[in-house]
Amino acid sequence: MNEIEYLEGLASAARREDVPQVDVSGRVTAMLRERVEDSVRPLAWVASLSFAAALPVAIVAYQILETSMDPLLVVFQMAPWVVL
Amino acid sequence: MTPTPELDLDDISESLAGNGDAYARLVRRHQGKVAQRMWRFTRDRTAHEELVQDVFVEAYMSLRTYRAEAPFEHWLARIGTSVGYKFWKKKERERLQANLSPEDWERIPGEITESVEPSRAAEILHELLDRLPPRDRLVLTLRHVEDKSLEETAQLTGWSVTMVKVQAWRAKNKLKRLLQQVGVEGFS
Repeated sequence: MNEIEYLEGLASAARREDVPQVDVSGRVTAMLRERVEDSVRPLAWVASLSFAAALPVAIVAYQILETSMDPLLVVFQMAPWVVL
Repeated sequence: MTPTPELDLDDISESLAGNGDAYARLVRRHQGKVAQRMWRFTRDRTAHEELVQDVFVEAYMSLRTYRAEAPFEHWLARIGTSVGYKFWKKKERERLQANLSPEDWERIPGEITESVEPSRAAEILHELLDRLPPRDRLVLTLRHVEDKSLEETAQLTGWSVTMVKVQAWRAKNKLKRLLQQVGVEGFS
C-alpha cells in the first residue's frame, strides 16, 4: 500500500460519516442585514451633512435666479422708495 | 431541497434587488452541500458552522460577480475552498505559536479496513492532514479525498493545472515522510 492508497482508504471510509446538519440561513441574513446597515450609516451621515450645507446655497441661488429672470423687478422693488 | 439552476438564477436576481428572503432560500437550498464540503476543513462543530456561514456571507458579497457560466453550486464550491484554505492558514499560524505534544502523533493505525468506523477514519484523516502545510493539505484533500480531477482542482484553487501537478507531487512526498514519522506500518 502506498501513501495515496492509504489516504484514499481513509477518505473512502470517512465519506460514509454523517456530516452535522446546519441551518445558517437565519444567521446569514441577520449578519448581512447588519453589514448593510453598517455600510449605509456613514453614507446617511454624509448625506445629511451635504443636505444641511446645500440648503442655504439653494435658497440664495433661488433668490438670485428669480432676480435674474426678471431684471426689472429690482427697479420696481426700488420704486416705492423713489416715490417716497 | 434540490438546487435547480432556474430557481437559483431567480433567487440570485431577487437577492441582488435586495430581497433578503430570496437569499435565505438560496442558503437553505445549498447549505447541506456546503456543510458537507466544509466538514473536510474542520471537525469542530462550532468552527464548522461558522465556516458554512462565512461561505454564504462571502458569496453574497461577491454575488454581483457571479456570471452564471457554471452552476451556482460550483461557484459556491470555489468560495468554500477559499474560505476553508484561509481557515487552515490562520490555524497554521496559531499552531506555529503553540507547540504540538509528541502524544499527538501516536494515534494513527497502520491499516484502514472496511471495519474502521467512518467517524474514526475521518478523525484520523483529519489529524494526519492537519500536520501538513495548508497548500499540501488542500491539494491532497481535493484530489484524493474529494476525488476531483486535475482540472477541477485547478478551478477550485485558482491554480494552473501544472501548479496542481507540482503541488500534488510535493504533497505526496510530504505525506509519505509524515506516515514514516508517525510510524504507520508499511511506511516506517
